[in-house]
Amino acid sequence: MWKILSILIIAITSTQVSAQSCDALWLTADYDIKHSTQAGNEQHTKMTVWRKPEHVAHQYAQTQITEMWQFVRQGMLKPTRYFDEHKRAIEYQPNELVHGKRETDWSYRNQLVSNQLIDSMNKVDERDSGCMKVVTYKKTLNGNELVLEWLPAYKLPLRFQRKDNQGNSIVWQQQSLTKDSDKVAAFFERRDNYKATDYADIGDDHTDPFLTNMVTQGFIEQGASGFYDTKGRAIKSEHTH
Amino acid sequence: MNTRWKAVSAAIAVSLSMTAVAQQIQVIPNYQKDNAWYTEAQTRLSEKEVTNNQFKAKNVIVFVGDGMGISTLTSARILKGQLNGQPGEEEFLAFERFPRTALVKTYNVDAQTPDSAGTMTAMMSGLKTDVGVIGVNEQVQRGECSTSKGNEVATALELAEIKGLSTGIVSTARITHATPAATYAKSADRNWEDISDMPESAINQGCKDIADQLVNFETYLEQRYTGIDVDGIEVVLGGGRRHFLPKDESFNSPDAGSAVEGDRTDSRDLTSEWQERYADGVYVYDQAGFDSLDTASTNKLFGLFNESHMQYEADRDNDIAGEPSIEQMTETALNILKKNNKGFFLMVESGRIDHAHHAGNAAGALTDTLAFEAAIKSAYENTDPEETLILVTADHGHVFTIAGYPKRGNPILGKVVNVGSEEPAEAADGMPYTTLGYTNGRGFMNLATETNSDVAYTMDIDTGRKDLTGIDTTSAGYHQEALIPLSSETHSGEDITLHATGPGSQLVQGVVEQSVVFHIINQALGLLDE
Repeated sequence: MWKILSILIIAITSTQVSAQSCDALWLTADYDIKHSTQAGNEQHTKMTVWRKPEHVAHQYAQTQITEMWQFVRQGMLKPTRYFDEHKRAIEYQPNELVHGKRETDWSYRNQLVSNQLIDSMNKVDERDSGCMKVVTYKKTLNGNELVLEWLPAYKLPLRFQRKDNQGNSIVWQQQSLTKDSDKVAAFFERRDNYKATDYADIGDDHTDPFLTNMVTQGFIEQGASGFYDTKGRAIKSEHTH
Repeated sequence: MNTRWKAVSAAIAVSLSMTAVAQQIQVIPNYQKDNAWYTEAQTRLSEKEVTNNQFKAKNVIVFVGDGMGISTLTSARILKGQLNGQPGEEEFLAFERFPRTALVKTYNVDAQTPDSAGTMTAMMSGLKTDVGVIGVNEQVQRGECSTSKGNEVATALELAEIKGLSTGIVSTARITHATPAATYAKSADRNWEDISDMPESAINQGCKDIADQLVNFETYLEQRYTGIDVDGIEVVLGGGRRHFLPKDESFNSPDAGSAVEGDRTDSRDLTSEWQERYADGVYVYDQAGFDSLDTASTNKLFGLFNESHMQYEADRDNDIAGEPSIEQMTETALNILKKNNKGFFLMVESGRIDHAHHAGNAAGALTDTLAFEAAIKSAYENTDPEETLILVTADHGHVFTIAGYPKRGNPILGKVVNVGSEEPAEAADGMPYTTLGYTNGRGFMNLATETNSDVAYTMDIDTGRKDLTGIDTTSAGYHQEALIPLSSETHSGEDITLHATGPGSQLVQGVVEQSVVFHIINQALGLLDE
């Protein structure tokens, strides 16, 4: 395992972020999310984090949905959900509940792991240095064993694993990390040009096929961004449960 | 017949008549004719026997409760009474006491169940048109700019401007939204709120976005009618700043909620353009600016209080910079418009009743209905009833119903409690049920104290029956059960009401097509007399 990680780190360092600063504001990070069950079933999904100053997007290629959060004034978060297949967006107001959760923790969306959770974990290892320093944290939370390999320079996990006491696990594994600000800007600009609908207007235009059919296109699916427990609740710290 | 028989016949007739009167008096016992319901009804009838024969008004105010169908009126009046500590059913909304009422057929030319664009165009222009189009007739193909040319219709607000009256538009929705837009804009698509919402072909063919049409209303109206000279809309208050500002962070309002507030891709700042055109005009964007207005010295007012729709009434305190209520906006508008001796035309829309219903949240819809009622009451009390025709109506209803057999005074947002019982009644499935419900929509949600109805769109659809035991269905965040799962609750196709008071209100009677509203305004103001 360590060998694989080391190779990965070397690959990231040598091919993608070499000669770059540790600036964590403009970047792209690809993740493989592996769900494993005790029975041996395995399911993989892909997720990409896109980050520019005060904006972070979580792109899910399989559902062609991108969720984006803006860090706006007074510490509020403004969510927007992009339906990439349809080039349409649903725009929410700052600080609205989404899937029953009011987004108030920028660190959780921007980093995938909240500062609150990291602060509550035990540091067990540290290796490498500079931009590629990896700090390992562990914690047991409600019967779940959490292991986080953290890249402090980029404020992103290299690997995050949650294993429950029934032998089920979920692992977020970073596949690549690149720092191409033009590519990132183009990503956000493309979505910014989608036709956006204020979510209060969803019911107001029954002749819009996208809006009337949206419910079958993944709009309502349980929020998939970030790290969730088996009941779909965000893993932040023990205080959130 | 000789004289004697005539006299006998007359005596018999009088005798029979007196007997009939005596019998009638005996038929209505004292406990009946002294009953409060009986005397109250008699009093109401007597009041309506007094007819005002004046048909011409100096001013007209049209209040439109978006989505305020009859079941919304009934449940809002009950809620109003219950908030005042009464059973509720006996209460009236202020405008329900207006002397004249009609039922209004709401369908669009091409739709059995209508939308706001088609219905408001009917009310403002005197003809019905298709769903989704604004200020144009049914010859238009939605979304096709070229088909709108030559099919533009004149509106009551435009005619009032031409006649020299002061004019105003107030809405709690975006001021470019379908209902307010139908007073001033011509658009083949209701969604063309700013240039970024329009297809390239429409822009190339010369169609203008709705925000542009509002700010340049004076120019465009004068271009359409050779020789006229109008002075522009005096009061514009509502939401929708995003459609007036460039897509550029540097143009953000001080209370912007988005990183880039504006949507316009043509780099135009229409708020500045408006201020350049009306040098003495006042532009405001927040509660503080609104509160500091001096209406005595302000003759032109442009207020945009939110990037998008203004907040729900129950949610206004959560706004970043604060927003005036619909009652406050109406009062301010009237103070400015009343300064014109020729009179005024004002349209006030409560836009968010509709949105709360779409989200399946009766509490939100009823709260905004009561805020709307307060605005109407204020307008009635602050205008001369001898010279001001006030019309109160909706554009369409919702699939919102009041059902079951709850006892008198049972909380309108609560669970059904039958007559003689203190416990919630059980349906055939053994579970309690609410008086209010929706035929379709997103269904049950228990969001407790959440006052933003639209949060429903971020939750899973959950239709069908739920066990409501232990759930406070009277809370602001409770969303009623629905039968048919849809991404949003829908409009309904049934009739809505038109309530009227003042000169010209005598014509509000019977069952009418929605386009009749324009003609009532027109006859009262004599808009086409000159």
